[in-house]
Amino acid sequence: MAACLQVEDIGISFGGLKAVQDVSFSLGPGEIMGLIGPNGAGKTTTLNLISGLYTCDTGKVILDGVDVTDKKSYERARMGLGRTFQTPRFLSRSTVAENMKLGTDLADQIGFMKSFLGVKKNDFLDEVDQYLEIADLTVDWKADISSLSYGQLKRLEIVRALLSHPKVLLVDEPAAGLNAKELEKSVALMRYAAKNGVGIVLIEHKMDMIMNVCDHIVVLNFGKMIAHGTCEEVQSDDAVIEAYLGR
Amino acid sequence: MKNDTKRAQILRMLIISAVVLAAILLLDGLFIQNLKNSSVNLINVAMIYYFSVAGMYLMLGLGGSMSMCSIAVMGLSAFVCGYTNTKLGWPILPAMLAGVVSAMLLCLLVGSLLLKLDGRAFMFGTMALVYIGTSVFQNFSEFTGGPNGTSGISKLTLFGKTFSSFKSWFVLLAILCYLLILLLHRIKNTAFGRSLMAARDDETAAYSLGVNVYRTKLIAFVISGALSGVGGALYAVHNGAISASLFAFSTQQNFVIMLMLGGVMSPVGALFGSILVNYLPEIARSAGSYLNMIYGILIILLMIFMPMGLAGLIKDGFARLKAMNKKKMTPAAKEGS
Repeated sequence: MAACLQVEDIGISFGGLKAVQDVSFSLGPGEIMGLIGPNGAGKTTTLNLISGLYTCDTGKVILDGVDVTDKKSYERARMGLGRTFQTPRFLSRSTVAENMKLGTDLADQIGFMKSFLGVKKNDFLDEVDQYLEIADLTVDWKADISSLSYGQLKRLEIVRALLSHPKVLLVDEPAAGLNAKELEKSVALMRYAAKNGVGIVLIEHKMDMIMNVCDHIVVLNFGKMIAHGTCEEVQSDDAVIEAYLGR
Repeated sequence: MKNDTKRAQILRMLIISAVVLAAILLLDGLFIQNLKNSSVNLINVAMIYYFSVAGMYLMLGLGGSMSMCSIAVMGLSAFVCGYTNTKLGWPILPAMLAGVVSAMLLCLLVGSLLLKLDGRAFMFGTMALVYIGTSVFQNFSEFTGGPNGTSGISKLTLFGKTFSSFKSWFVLLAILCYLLILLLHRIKNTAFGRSLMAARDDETAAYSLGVNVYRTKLIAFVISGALSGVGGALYAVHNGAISASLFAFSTQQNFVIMLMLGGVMSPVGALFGSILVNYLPEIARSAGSYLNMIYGILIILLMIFMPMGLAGLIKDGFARLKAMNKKKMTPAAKEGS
């Protein structure tokens, strides 16, 4: 099966600090890959390099067979690279509907005039309902986004990313601040997406979730990749044990 | 089901439009026709200014970027309209169109250069355009008429009706303002409008959602230029004469107050802001040279008590009423259960 995301020796330095160096992995459609490591290991920086928010000093990012290393982040998003953030990022002065429709807009990718005339390729309401059901969310579309709880926002951010029909979804700490039930629903959303062929890169500190959900895991420490393998392989890897337990 | 909803929306819009049209005609018959010409002129000019203020709403309210060059863009359009009509002998409608196109081209050029900068640099850069504009309008006599300005601009004739007096303009301008509000509402609810709001609230999120922030803001700036252009062309034809002194920074300051007073986030609020601010000298005539002081105090009070303008105040009022009703309903509902 051809990889939907290939990362080849990517790296970036901030001043003299090598934040990420020589990170490589490959992700197939429908796979969930965990990206773990202690605090400051370079996990979010790696996501930023993949999504184009940072420019790689070295290496390549290949999305669905296309080298996107020189593409800007919005171009990568249009090519099917979705992402969520550690702290959910929404349009703070807009309604729930306006925020969520941005996902469908990305899937539609229609020009200004067509959008002005009301042309659309995907029906927002048709699609969003199934995701809301999986996420166990009931929302008032006209409400201000600021009226929602953190747990709702975390799940809605994944829903919005899925509405954009991504080929690859980068999910940054979806469990942070969620209770067990909310977390279960976030996992259900990711599993549903993976079942529909979306490749997922998941950053998370909750190891039970990672072991439960991921097909394979990449471990980073001080910006370097110290292990890559199945959950069992990573769990018994000496370098990983040392990085986490400091032995 | 969806077709029914769409049909209901169209029907609702038609009913609202009919009510607004009736209100405009009623206002014209009962109020405007009985006013002095100078007062009607103030209201008309406020509605013309609204085109520029609406452009600022698009840039600031939706896009989060403060554009301070609307008056220069409006001035360019007015002088192009005046020049092509009086010197080149173009009929008035093509002359107005030339004004609008020149305004859009100016915004395309300025936006291409300045929108790559951050918000503050963009604001100061656009502000500089007003000073350049004022100087050009005063000194390029062959094009603008210099200190004397341009006069003798043809009257507008539409569908056989010539708009010869200020009073005859009111209905047309009010309808145009209503259409402009509908246009702004439509833009806000398109993918483009949402992209613009994303660029305003969180550029990083916008990028991750496929929004080309620079291009989106550039399109918005060109549209705002077109709106200021329409305003400039309408001003030239409405007044029949234009002079450089009108297109100075003081008018741009008034545009800012109009937008702030009405509500940065509300196109309807901005219309009322435009009318109130432009009509203020008439109401506060006795204030004379203290008028600027009134403006200053007004801005300070606005920022303290109504940061979202009149529209924000009304919205908050409705929200409070709703909350109060909910509170009143709760005990009764409990008793009922």
